[in-house]
Amino acid sequence: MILNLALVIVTLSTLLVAARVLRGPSWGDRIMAFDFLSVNLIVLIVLIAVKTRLLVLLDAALVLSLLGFLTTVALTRYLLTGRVMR
Amino acid sequence: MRGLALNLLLAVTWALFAGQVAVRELLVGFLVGFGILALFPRALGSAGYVRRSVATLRFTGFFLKELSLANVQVALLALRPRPPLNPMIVAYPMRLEGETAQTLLAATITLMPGTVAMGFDDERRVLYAHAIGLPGAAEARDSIRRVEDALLPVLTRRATPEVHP
Amino acid sequence: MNDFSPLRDIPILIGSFFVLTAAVGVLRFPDLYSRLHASSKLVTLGSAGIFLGAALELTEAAAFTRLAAILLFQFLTTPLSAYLIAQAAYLRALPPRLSGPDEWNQLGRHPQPGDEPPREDPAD
Repeated sequence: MILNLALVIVTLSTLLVAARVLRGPSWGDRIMAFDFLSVNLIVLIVLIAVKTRLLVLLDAALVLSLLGFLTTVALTRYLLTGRVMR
Repeated sequence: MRGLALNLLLAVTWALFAGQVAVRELLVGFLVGFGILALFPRALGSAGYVRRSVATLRFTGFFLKELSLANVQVALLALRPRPPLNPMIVAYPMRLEGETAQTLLAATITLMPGTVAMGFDDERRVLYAHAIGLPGAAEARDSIRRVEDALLPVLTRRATPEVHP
Repeated sequence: MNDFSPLRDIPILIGSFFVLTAAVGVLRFPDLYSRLHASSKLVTLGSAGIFLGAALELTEAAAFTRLAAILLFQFLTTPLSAYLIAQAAYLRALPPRLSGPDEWNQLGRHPQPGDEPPREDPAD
């Protein structure tokens, strides 16, 4: 019951952040909102894992958290230095 | 880290004497070993280790308290109809030296009430931070200074950190 | 899962409340740098609450270690990505909307879009 309520709340916040990704007046807002969107999705996946009792989903959440951070690092590095790799 | 090695050795010894090397025995042994190291700092040469461990624990407590405060503050700002944000960018001359210490400071103030680290100057002496919800630049600097005060004994090996005016 | 168990449900409720407030802040705050406050601070405690509740509900050791790893990683990376985004945005001339002083730029001139971006490596 509480779990369903939490799922609804987190889904709502994911939609709000997605609105910020689409609207975000500057590229900085989009990067920030995209980073935050990945965190929201991690929380959502963890809640779904609790609801369905599928522990495999926790691995997906772990991979998504790594990917979200790497995306932010790569994008900001590209914008600051003009390339991602040395 | 000679003190930490000694403490781990004591934990393993305790677990062996207890007859079972499991998480619970190791944990008890670690605590008992820490007590021994704290009781005989001269003989075991563990004064620095004990002091830094206590400082780390106190910093963790400070961090959790301030993190909760920061969350409540930003949540109130986000839900209020007309949030008094008062955004500004302040420069803070750091006392900490070294890349690790400064990165730790920048990461910590990002999670503290009111401030987000934005960058360093070229000589890495000054930290620039964005502040909201604080009345003025002096308060923002005070907030960063409190974090640095809690962080200094964790990262320095000296017995007493030197006092700056 | 029908009964109310406070040990599991209260952290999850607090956590999801903070996640929602963070999203509201990201949507409502006036400029990028203020939005970073909402997205970096609120989400650490929010996800910590939800992960704690999840760990108390899924009692397996495998679930516990994975949740602890995700939580530790979140605590390490959230301030770092906020720092990287703020630095990149400021140095690539996204103007902040300030009512106080800007002490990074004492001359009162913000970086302009035509400026040469700094070539030193900010990540290391």
